[in-house]
Amino acid sequence: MTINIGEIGEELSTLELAETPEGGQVQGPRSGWRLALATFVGNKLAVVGAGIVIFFILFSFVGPHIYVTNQTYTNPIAAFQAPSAKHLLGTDPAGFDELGRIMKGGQAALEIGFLSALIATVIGTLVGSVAGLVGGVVDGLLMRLVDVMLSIPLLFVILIVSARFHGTSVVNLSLIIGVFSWLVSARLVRGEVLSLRERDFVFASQTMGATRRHLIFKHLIPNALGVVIVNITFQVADAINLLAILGFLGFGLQYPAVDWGDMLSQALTWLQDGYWWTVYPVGICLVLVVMAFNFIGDALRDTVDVRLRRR
Amino acid sequence: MTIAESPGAGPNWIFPVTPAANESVYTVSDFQGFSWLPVLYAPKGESPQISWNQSLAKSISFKNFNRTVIIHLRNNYKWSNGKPVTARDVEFYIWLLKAAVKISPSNFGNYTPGLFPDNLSSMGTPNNYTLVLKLKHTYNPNFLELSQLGVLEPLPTAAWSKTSLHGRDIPFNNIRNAEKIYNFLAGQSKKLATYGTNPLWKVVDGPYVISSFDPSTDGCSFVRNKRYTGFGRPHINKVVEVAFTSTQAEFNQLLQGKIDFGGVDFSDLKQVPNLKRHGYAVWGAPDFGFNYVVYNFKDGTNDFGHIIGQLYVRQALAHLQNEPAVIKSPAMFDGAASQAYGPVPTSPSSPFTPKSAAHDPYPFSIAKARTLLGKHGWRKVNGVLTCEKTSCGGGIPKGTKFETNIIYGSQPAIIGQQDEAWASNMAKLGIKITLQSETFNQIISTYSDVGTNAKNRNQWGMIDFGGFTGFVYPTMNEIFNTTGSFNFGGFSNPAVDRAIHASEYSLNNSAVQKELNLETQLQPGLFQPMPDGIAAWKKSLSGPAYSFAAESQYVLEPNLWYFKK
Repeated sequence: MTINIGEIGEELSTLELAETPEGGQVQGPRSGWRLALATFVGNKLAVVGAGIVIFFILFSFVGPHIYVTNQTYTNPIAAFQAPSAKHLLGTDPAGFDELGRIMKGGQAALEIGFLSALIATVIGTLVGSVAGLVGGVVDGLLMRLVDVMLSIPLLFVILIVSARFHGTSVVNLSLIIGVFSWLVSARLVRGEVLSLRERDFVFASQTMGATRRHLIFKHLIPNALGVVIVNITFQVADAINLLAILGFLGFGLQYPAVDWGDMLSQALTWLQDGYWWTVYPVGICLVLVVMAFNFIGDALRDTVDVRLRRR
Repeated sequence: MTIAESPGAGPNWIFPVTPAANESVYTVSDFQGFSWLPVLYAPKGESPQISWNQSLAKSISFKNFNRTVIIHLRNNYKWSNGKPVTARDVEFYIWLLKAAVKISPSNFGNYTPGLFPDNLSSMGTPNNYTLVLKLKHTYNPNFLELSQLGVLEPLPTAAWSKTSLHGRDIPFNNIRNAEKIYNFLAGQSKKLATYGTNPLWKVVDGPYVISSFDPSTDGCSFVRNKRYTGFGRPHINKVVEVAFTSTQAEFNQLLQGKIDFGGVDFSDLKQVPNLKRHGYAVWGAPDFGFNYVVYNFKDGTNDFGHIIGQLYVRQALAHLQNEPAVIKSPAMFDGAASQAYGPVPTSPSSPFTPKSAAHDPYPFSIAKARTLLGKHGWRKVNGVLTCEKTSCGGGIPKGTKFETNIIYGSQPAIIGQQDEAWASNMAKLGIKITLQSETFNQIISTYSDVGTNAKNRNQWGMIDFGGFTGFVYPTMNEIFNTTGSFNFGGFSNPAVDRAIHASEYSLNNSAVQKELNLETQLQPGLFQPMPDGIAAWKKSLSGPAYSFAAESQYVLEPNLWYFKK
């Protein structure tokens, strides 16, 4: 009996196609970033969130170039005009076009959200890295500082600082919010660094004489970046929320600048008079943006966490 | 009954010698005024005149070319400890005033150096109900009666003439003792948490006595003074003043029927029919006073003190205020205000109203403002109005930028809205304004007194806390006189000082009108529209019409009110 090798091959390949192995389909090697991207894109809420954020970035920064309105000079006589072809969302109490105002408020929300998140992340990452790597008394002191600051209501502190320093500009408000929002970042990064510092590549680097600064900037922070990136998205959402609260309480931006909280606060004064266009559109924008960043943050967390990542 | 306090402007000083930093209608008229009564009571309803029925004095006579004043007190008023209210109690008050201003001029809000009580050469009490004041100079009789003597108020000598809570009475009629007594009483007044329990504040001659005070909100309550013997014995046993953080919060409480009497903000005017459906009466009238933005003539930041010192600049700023639009705007006064151009409005009527009250010397015109500033060398450079001449007058050097800040009262919202509209018009010319909001109490306690307090000088260019309710005789002595106690921005003009001096010393009754005309022309501050003071009260609440009308002058008279059954 002669055996046709070609036939055996055909039989084997038929077998492979017919049944999927228990461990899943074997695929070629994929990079971590591609895998992360695939996981992120596979999360429908994340895609919706990213879409909303991109929409609001375009709406706030490109929108005013397309839908051009006066946002500098008030016009008291034109206050509270109902939506029309001239003013798509009507006018506000100062006579400003409401849609244009929402765009301008959106700029402030996104600028302050990103800037304060960046400030908070930089501070938190550095503090967490130093605490985690150095350990001992330094770690103890830094973490107790974090504990103490976490025990004080953030809004309370920020209100006092805002009142004292008149946080009337985007930079001032970003600094005020950022400087008091780094605590969670610090804790997360510290936890990550505590684990990383026991890894072989860190020992190897130390053995070769690497300084602490080198370890932090070349090994620890890059390897903790996943946690940091996830946290940034939540920081942005929190900062936008906080800005809205500050604005609502009268500690936000001042004329001619505007923020959504300030707009909501003003609008509520006349809520019972039927000027719905000054309340609901801006309220919906605020909810959408904060929600979108939270969606993105949740998805990024799933993406970065290897245990939750789909293969 | 419940009365709503004005948000952010709750009372914060109980002792009736009130420092400038605490003096407001909310503290003096609507808080202290419930417990301690003045010798001369004003207004009469909404009218700026003395209400003799409500005054402790039954008459005043003048002798010796008005240098001798004889005040005849009624003999039916008693302190709540049973002792009679006498001329000696007024004398006690005057000694405390002398002590207060000797320690610091800022201890008495209505103080002007050289005037009361500095101008007293002697005083005496020939009997229990007659006080004789001898003055160093002859004054305009209206000024004397309606302004200077308007501050007089008897205080309970027998209960307060001491230096500790449980100490013995000491003689008050020498300045050393008076200073000790003043320091003790002012010290007690700083302890806000004790207002409801301190036995000192329980001795009153007014219709109500304080029963509680919450220092965290400035909310307070009063109970009926059962031993009140004067005009208008109270029918309502307890008056609660409720504090609010915003006019909106207050209005919501009105709609829920939880407040018996409260102010109605302009932002709620469209809800008046709704309020009426909820069983409220609503009424309003203009105050006999003025609203204005205070200029800081001492501000060194960006050389603003020198800039605002120029008349043409103040005239240009007045041209940039669009009063008709602000009054008409549905988001602002919605018609419930009238144009005002100087310290006295056209309504309510007064014999002292000047002709200038009815004529706008600087009507809204951006073009006129631009021309005025341009003529003096101001040009827009990189978007900011800049002095481009060697000097733009008053030592303003070339290159000076026209930029400053306005600190405005956070409540009611109309204050910030007016300033925003004004700043917007200024921005059209390149004047750069930064707006900041603070509460009424913060503003008057923090930013007043740039004259003696160097720390204050460079913190602000303009403040807007609202305005002033004037005396019946409306000289601006305390506000625009160089040495005026409420001259917050350090305005100083020899012609105005001379005009004020004439209002005080001249026997010519038109002198005050000339003064007011001059102030209207010189614009020591930006005079703003005069709003109606609007209030709502439950229809079940009743009383004489004038007692409700007085609210437009920031005076509450709950002792005259009662609930209909």
